[in-house]
Parts: sequence; C-alpha cells; structure tokens
Amino acid sequence: MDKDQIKSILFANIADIMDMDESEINVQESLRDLGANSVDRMEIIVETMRKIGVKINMLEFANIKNIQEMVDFLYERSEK
Amino acid sequence: MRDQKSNRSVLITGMGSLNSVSENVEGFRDALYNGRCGITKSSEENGQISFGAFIKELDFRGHIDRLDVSDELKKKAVSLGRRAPEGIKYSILTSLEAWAQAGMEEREIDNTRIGIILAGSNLSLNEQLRIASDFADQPEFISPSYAFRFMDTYHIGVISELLSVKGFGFSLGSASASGNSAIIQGYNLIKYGGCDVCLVLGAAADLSCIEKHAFANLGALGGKDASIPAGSVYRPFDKNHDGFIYGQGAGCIVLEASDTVEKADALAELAGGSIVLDGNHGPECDPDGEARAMRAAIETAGIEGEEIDYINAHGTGSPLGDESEVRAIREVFGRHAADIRINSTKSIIGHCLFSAGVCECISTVIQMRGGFVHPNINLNAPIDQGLDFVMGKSSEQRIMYALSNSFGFGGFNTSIVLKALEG
Repeated sequence: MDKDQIKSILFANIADIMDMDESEINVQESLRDLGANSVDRMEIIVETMRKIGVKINMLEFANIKNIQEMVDFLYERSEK
Repeated sequence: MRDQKSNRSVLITGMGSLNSVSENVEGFRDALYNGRCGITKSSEENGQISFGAFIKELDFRGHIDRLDVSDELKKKAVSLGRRAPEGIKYSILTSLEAWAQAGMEEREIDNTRIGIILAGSNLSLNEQLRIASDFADQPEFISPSYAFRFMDTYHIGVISELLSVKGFGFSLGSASASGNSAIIQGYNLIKYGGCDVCLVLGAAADLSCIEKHAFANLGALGGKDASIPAGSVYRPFDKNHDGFIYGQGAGCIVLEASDTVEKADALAELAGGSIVLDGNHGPECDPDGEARAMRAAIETAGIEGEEIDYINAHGTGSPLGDESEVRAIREVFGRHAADIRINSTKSIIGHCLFSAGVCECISTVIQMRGGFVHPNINLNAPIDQGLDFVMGKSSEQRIMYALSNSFGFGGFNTSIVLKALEG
C-alpha cells in the first residue's frame, strides 16, 4: 500500500468519525486540534489500522504530533 | 418534605413510538385503527424461514428533521446518533418525539428533578454476535467504543446527554414485563417525590439468530407453518394460535407529577400498577400470579374491578399463555369480565419483548384518546367465547379505565391502570 492510499484511508476515517469534510483536514494539525476526544482518536487509529491491515501497539502513537506524522508512521510500519 | 408528595398523581404528557407499522405516534394510531399488521416473512442466513415485525430501514437524519424540536437539539441528536447502532437511533427518535409532545423545550424544569428509566436488558445481542465474529478474526481491531456501547445503560448516557437530564437514571430488566416494570418504577418515583419528571424508555430488542433459534427450539415461536401468509400468521387468543412472533418496537413515555403540569396538557393519568413474582425460573405462566398482579394494580389505583372498561392483554399468542391470561381475567373480574373489551396489540406489532409494556401503554393511551378499540387481528375463533375480544374491525369505545398486562419469563407478572382525563 502506498502512502497516498494510507493517507486517503486515514482521511476518510477522520471525516466519518468527526462528521467533517475531508477538505477541512489539515495535515499539520493533530487529531486533537480537529476536535477529536480520546475515544474518537482511538476509533480513528484502530479503524485505520484495520483497513490497512497493520497491528501497532497504541502506546506507540503517543508521540505523534500531527496527521502528517501519523501517515508517515503508518506507512513506515505497513507492509510495502 | 419530599415524602409528603404521595397525594400527587402521575400524568403521561408525552409519547414517542417507532415500530414495524409506523415511525411515530400518529402513524401508530392509524395502523392500530386500521388493524394494519407489521409482520413479514424473512429468510434467515441458514435458510430457515422466520416471521417478524421489523422496523423498516431508517433515514435517521431525515427522520430527525421531521421532528418538532429546535435546530440545536436536532444537531445534537445527529451528532450522538449518526454512527450509533440502530437501537440507539430508535431511542433518540422516540425520546425526542415524546420530549417535543410534552413541550419540555419550552418549559423551565429543574433538570436535576428529571430521571430516565430504561426498560429491558441484553439489548444489543445482534451487535454482540457481529462483534464476536470480528473478534475471532482480528481481536486487535475491536472498536474501542464498544467498551461502553455494549452496556444497556449506553441508551441512558446518550439520552441524558441529548436532553441534558441530570436526575437519576438506571436500567431495569424483568424479561417481557420490563416495559411495565419501568413504568411502575417511574410512577413510584414521581409519586413519592424522587423526581418530578421521568422518561420511561422502551428500547427495541435486537435479538440475534442465536436467541431466535433458542426461542424456536423452546417451541415458543409462532409461525410454525411457513405456508401461511405473514399477515395472518400471528393469532393471539385464537384457537389456531401457535406461539409468539418477534417484533421490533421502541417507545418513550414522559411521566410527570400532577403539581408540575396542567392536567389539561396531559394525555392520560397513570393511576397505578403492580409487579408480582410467582416463584418460577422458567417460561411457564401462572394464572394466580397474573391475577394477583391485576388485582394489586386495581387496588393501587383506588378503584373497583367493575370500573375497568378495557384490557390491553399480554396476549402473546402462546397457547398456554393465552389460556392462562383468560383464566386470570375471569378470576379477577368474575361476571364483569364479559363486559370488558379485550385486544392484544401484539397481533399488530408483534411481541416487542422488553419494550412491549411501553409500546402497549402507548397503544392504550392512543385508544383511550381516540375513543376506539383496535381489532385483535386474525382472531376468528376465540379460545373463550364469553369474553368480549375486539374482532374484525376497530370499534368505538369510551374507555375511562384501562388495564395493560405484561408477563415475563422467570415468573414476572405486571399490570398497570390508565385513567382517561375528563373533558
């Protein structure tokens, strides 16, 4: 799966869970900046991992600062 | 001070309904009046044919839009219900309909004096089965929010957030008698000062194929002859009854203390009710327990049995259950039994299990206010010719006092008394 595909899955999940348009998502912002509470954040991450087919311990997401970093991190850990 | 409130009466000021025949109370009235049955034949995944009265696929946002509530409340409802399981959506819709009818948005009521009672238990069995198969594949990807969504009380959390309710809240299970039991607890809490307003929420049962098979293996399900058309398969109190047909129905009732609302604004009075056990762990019914529940309900209402004009029977269509209820009615009312109009709303919307009491209370209030009794559909050969079952079509009927019965597996017997408001 390439980086664009991962980004598009993540964006779709954010838009669905946060009830917003994908065009409103800025990769420099964090999920928290977009208004996601802790449950929303967990839902977005788990659902995205499920669709990409990658299993990562949730604790490893603790230091991710924004959506771009999340895309990079998911790409790095996914099967190429 | 609060324990001195026992002279209050308890009024029903709002109702919301969603079931197989209608998406609101007005539609329910129409279906009852015309005896329009919601039962259809469905094919299960394993090829077994089953009958059921299912809620039609929902346009949640469209439905919210049609409700008579503020835009702010609509927005909140969409946000809370958008990704929620269907059962939560049903609870949101029925609560909002009832809330609007009671005019709660326009009135200033101390929200710490409003409570919520959820009728029923094990409300998300179908969703649990679905999640179990996801879990078997990939346990890592179970939805985190399932941790609070699997609890029945999630309904209370959602509705209390939606309506900013800050008094008490709890769920109450007593099998198929849960709806009536919740209504009776709401009555008690208002009557003795625990709150001024109580929402009684009857959540739709969401059985999975496992529970349906267990009911079928128990012999409790009707529709054993799959060649019978869906509309005539369910026959409470008819000699050809052969068990219950599962129904999906949600309902909400707003109960209020008579000192916080004008009687003229109310729909009916909840005059009393009673819950009694008959000491039995299984599905067997007990005419003695049923009779005790009816007698005690009449007693709490402070009236005589002769004053009851109409009974909304438990009437599940189970041969033993129907016979037991008929015996209990005869025992309680004696010669007056023949003068009471009787029907089973289940013949129209199926057996809604946990919410049955709430759905049937709504049906009873609709009939009291409409001055009619709905037909007990498919009743051609009554098991008791001496009782006045409503057969054929709806008929005009003045109802001053009505009794509504709900009995449940595990020895639960409940009965409530409703009183029409004068004028």
